[in-house]
Amino acid sequence: MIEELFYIEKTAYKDSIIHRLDARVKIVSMLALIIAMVALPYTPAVFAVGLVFFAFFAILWALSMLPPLVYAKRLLMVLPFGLFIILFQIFFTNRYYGVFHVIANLPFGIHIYAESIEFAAILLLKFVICVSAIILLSSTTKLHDMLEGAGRMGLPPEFALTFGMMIRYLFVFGYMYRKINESLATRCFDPFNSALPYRYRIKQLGYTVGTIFIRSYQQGERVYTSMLCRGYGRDSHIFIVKKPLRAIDWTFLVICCAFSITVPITIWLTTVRLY
Amino acid sequence: MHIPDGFFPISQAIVYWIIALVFIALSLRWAKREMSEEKVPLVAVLAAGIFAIQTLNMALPISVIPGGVSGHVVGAALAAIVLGSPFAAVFILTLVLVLQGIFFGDGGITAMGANIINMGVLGGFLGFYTYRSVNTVFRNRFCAAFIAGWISLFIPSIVCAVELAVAGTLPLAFGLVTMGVYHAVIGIIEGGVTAFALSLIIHARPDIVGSESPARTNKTKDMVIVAGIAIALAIAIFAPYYASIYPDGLDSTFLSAYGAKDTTTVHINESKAVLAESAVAEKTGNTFSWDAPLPDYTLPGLEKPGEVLAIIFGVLVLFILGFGISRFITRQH
Repeated sequence: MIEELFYIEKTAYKDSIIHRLDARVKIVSMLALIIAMVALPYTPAVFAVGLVFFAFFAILWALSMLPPLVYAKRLLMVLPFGLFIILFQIFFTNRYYGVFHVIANLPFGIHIYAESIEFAAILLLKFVICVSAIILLSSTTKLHDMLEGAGRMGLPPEFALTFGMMIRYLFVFGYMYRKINESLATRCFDPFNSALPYRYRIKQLGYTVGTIFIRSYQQGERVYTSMLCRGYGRDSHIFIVKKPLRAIDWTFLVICCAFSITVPITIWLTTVRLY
Repeated sequence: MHIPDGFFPISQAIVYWIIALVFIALSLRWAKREMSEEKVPLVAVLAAGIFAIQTLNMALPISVIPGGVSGHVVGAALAAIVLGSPFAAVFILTLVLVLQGIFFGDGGITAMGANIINMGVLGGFLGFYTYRSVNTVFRNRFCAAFIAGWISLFIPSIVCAVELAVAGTLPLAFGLVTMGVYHAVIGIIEGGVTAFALSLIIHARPDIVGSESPARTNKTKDMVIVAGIAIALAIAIFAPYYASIYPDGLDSTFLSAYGAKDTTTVHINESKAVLAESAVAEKTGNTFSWDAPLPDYTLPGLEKPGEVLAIIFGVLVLFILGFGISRFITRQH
């Protein structure tokens, strides 16, 4: 995952109307979208809301001027665990439906239910919308801007400092990870090579992990000592300048929040009336 | 094991977040007290290191597709053991999980509470205390670290399956079996890597490994814990094969009183038994009923293995509960 760090940060450094928005606005807007999607009960109303949200996301993505391939790549990266749960839904009944209709019988007494397919689609839509919101947020906001935004919104200074340090050194360890991989490859070591004894592979990986652990600990010690030399103490924290929101930020925030609240409520009320 | 958004109803997600926040607050208190506030940057840099460690992938020891399925290390047990406190793992894993959730979309924002509980809290606490107990009893750091690593991955995966079952998004039996088997196999990587990494760290930097002072380690207590878990698990595995399928004394008396069963035989008249239950409900006015999550100590759809799994799960839940309560009570004094 650390390899993607550089790739994601590169996209975040591009310029567009979405990139230029204040980080606070983007964090709150995307959180509102996610919470609205998660809070929606597991009913077919999710389809309508999900599709409207996805259309909204697509507009924002187009405004960010990022290629759709970036989105597809990042989506593929986080799919596996969620997709595993979603795919197997179709073979099981669940508590959200009263009656289940079998649409296919498979060997070993396995059935595929129409309602379960619907439920799986609901889960998939919820999952994809929430992940898309996060992808948009991180692809258009630099990590440090996100941290400053969170700090301005009241993230405790201890956390802001800790996250700041972590973000700073993520890139250092990203390079270290690359170098370690290169040196392993130079020694013709491949953890996936089944010709090598398994114990030997685990041992090598264990030693590599131990090395990274020690190196990060030593890096931490060095950082701590150098920070002490520069006057770091108990009351030190990241200095975050105040930054008022611009008119465009306010507009985007109001539109997003109003959209996240009104769309599900309107669709929910319409669907309930129809049923 | 990173649960995404949308797999928990919002109410359950909030409950997990509240529990996680309690542990995050406790881990912050630990960082301030044990490491002194100034050393917090050290943990932050270490968290970046753990993030890099999680990227190292390796083929599974048992795989149907050779080299096709991979696993990586979570590192909760390693962090807890090296830094000498389970709160270290909670602190570090929280940082890592927040970054993974907000930046990579790996694990949801609303589901982050559950992810922190599973991987940080359970992984750290189980890893740390298993290592300490096994090491005190057997005096073998390597074995202790291996078992601790394995348990720190396996139990959280079981808990993850239960959480998803409670949310109604994954059937319990299926979740326990698939998640349990997959993580039992990946656990070998976690355990092996934890053991080898720890032995390297102990040799290269013995000063950074958190050591327990002799006064604080109580060998008898640890021996009792290890023996207790071993006996309980042995009973859990063999009990279903020796358990009687017939009703117990109380059931039998009740059924006999309503003529659903003869006192001297084991045969039950099912229709009369149902009538007896409704008669009692009518007489007492108590119509309360509850569907147990694991009815009759079994998992629906699984025969004997289901019973074994249900009892193992019950034993572990009780162990965690009992251990937590006893720690809480002893801390009061």
